[in-house]
Amino acid sequence: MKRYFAAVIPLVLLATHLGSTILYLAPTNPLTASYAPVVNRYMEPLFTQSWLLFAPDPATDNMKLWYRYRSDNQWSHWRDPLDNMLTDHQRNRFSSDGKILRIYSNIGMNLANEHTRLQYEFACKEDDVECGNSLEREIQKTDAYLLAARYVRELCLNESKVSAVKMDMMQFLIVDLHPKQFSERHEANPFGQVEYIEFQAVPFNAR
Amino acid sequence: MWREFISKVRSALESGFTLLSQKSHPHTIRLFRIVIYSWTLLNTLFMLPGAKHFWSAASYIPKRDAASIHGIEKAFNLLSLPQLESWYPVFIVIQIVFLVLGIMCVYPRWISLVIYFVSVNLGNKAFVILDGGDNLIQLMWVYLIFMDPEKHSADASDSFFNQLNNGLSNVAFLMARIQLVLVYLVAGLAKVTGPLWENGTALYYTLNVDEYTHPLAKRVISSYAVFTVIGTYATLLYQVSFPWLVWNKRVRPYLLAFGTFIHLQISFVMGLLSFGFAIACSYTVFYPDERSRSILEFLARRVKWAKDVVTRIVRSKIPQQRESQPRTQPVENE
Repeated sequence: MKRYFAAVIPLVLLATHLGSTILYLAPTNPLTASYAPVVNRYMEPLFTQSWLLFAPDPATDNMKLWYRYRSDNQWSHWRDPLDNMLTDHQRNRFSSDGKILRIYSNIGMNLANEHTRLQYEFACKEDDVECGNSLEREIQKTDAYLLAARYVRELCLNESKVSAVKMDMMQFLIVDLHPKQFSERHEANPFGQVEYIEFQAVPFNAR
Repeated sequence: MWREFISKVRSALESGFTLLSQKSHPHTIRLFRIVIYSWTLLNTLFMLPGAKHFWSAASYIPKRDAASIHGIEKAFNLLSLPQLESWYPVFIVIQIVFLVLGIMCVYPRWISLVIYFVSVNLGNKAFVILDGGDNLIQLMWVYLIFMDPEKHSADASDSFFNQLNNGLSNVAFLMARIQLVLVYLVAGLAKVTGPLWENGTALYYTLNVDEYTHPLAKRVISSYAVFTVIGTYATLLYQVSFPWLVWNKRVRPYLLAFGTFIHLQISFVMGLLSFGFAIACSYTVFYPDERSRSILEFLARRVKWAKDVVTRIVRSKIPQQRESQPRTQPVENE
């Protein structure tokens, strides 16, 4: 008898866990609303999982945060702060650069997502300057913007220490670089399409 | 006829229960544990130089609002609490120590619990850097808590707890295999619906993303369409066929070898080192028990050899030290 119990208990656990995992991973269907609350309560947080790995389509664009600063009334060129780290990561896969890159790339992605969310909320018309300014003021209050500003400020600070440049303003933008279409891969231009979100310049020492 | 049917069902159930109460794949479980914990340890060591980027208070990873974390989630997000934010070095040290103990299979279940607890806390603090490989390894950590890596293949003894232990271990082992199958099932089916995978250009676009490429690979894939198409369809075919072919013992070695090749490519060409190695390490769960035993015996011989070398070096120094020390007592014969 005890052998039956010793076997039934694990089998019941297996059936419960396997069934919950399958339902959790199943695509949204007419029954999802009915079972999802129960299944999610069991699966999360211990068994949280998502296997849309480069699926349904892989990543296809390079989203970057660029910055520049003003010194003696002249703006510097736009700088990509992750360029050197990317080269180092491509040279040595065993370093922590790959993971660190993800942290700083995420700053730009988060900011872009916040901007998209607010754009949808404000629904500004193209020539509505007042609406655009309100959107800018609103985004400057978000955590994503404050994190980006803190990051760019630190970059500018490091650069001013190295090059002894006196900066008074800083600015950053999100640039989204799309690769050339496969059919255009032999053409000379380095990218296919470029989109960007430019944020207003802010004083360098602003908190 | 009914009696015969019931008798057959009972005998089948009897065989099933006997099977469940005996430990299956004891060597594979042990090897799987060693491989997963070794990879976890290596991953942590690779990340150590950048520790302040991942876990410190000054990190650029968005902070989770401690007030919004409730219940069991709080236990796995301790490093998001302001009072514990600077304690990440302690978590790292505990993780490293317990991973070494975990590899040695000392008090396996308790050690596995601690490894899971500290590792998930470290992972959740640096959540931005986690990928699919980390997700899979986290699930394997849970299953390892239930797997018993005892060396001997225990026959079903009369003890209820022994049989329950074996049953839980077997079920956890089976679930680890099914989990890996589900990864490929979901990822493969999702890819089939993607237009870039369907038209054979997915690899071209992926290798044009700076974060996931290498300059040489980018040049090759842009110059030779054949690599793009073959690479894309081979990846797709592999993922879609894995859930079915992996259960066939004759095909399995070739399937896993090809999968290992793909994941090493992901690690070194695309730069997703942890992702590629995590999945490749998880393949160990499908090794036949005999093969796992040979690998464990090989590892044990290497460890013994290393211990012998160290012992010989230590012993060779001791007589030299004794000769160089001055005599404190007169020798009688002199």
